[in-house]
Amino acid sequence: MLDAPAARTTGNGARVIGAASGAVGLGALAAALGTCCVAPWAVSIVGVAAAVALARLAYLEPILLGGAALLLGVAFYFAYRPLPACEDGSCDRSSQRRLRRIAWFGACVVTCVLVLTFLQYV
Amino acid sequence: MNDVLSRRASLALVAGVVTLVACERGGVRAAISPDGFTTLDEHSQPLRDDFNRDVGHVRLLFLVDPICPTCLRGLADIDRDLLSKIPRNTTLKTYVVHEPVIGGTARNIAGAAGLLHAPARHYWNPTGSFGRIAGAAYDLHHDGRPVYAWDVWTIYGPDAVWKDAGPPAPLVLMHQLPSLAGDVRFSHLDSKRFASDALSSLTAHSKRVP
Repeated sequence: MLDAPAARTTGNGARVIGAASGAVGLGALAAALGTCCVAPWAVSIVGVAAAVALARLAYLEPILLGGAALLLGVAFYFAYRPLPACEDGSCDRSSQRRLRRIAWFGACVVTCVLVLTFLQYV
Repeated sequence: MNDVLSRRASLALVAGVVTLVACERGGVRAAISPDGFTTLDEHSQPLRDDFNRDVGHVRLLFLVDPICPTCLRGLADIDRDLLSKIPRNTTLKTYVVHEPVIGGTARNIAGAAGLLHAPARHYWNPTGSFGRIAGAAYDLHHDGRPVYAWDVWTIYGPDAVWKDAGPPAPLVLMHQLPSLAGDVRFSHLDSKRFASDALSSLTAHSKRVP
């Protein structure tokens, strides 16, 4: 059975991984919608009718990016939230570092999507 | 035997000369490929001749890449809101110029053309020169730099004549280009408003024609 600090870290892990994964997923979806006009893949892969349907969903891109940013905020909050129980050095610091890396990975992915989206307008 | 052969050769020669003369005088229109499109030359022909031949009609000119999903959505939306709703005998002429901006090829034109449920003439501009010519003619620019004309949707009145290198100024120009987002002269494509503008032009024209 887990002791209290370990349980706290594990709970954070599920939240951080869930939020970061959600952010990456929403970012990827936004990227798929956002790059449909500059990347020639859509018509060749999904066909004309599906590409048109995809283009009709392009208005969702900023909403998806907003959702991704919100989830990243949640991931960072749980990854960097101070753990009082760790002040005595009893909790697993390496696990917390891993969670922070996951949050940063999600942030990098979403940032790349944002940059790619911005480049379309330059 | 030689006599017969030389007579056949002479006949073939005469037939060839007659065909060439007929083509030279415009008796034969530019060849339309089996896929239903015509290839544009560097002088925007035969689109320019077709456009001027249709003076007296309201005309629509669309510039698209046949694999650009946003352009295809524009075609589908305009078809839904305008072309599929007007009677077949309406004197509206539609031209679609396909340009290889993001990698579209002539093979992709058939798929794009299938989105329209009304007669339209499709042109393929393999060099992409028409986008530059049209961009200059429409005075499309962003931060002082010229903007290539694609994903551009125009309406011409019955009096418009193509005199210069580029197409004349349209009655309405809409686009889906981020680089023109801040340009108050041109609206982002709104297919319903585009349809309304085109129908207004058609109505005004039909009142003029007895």
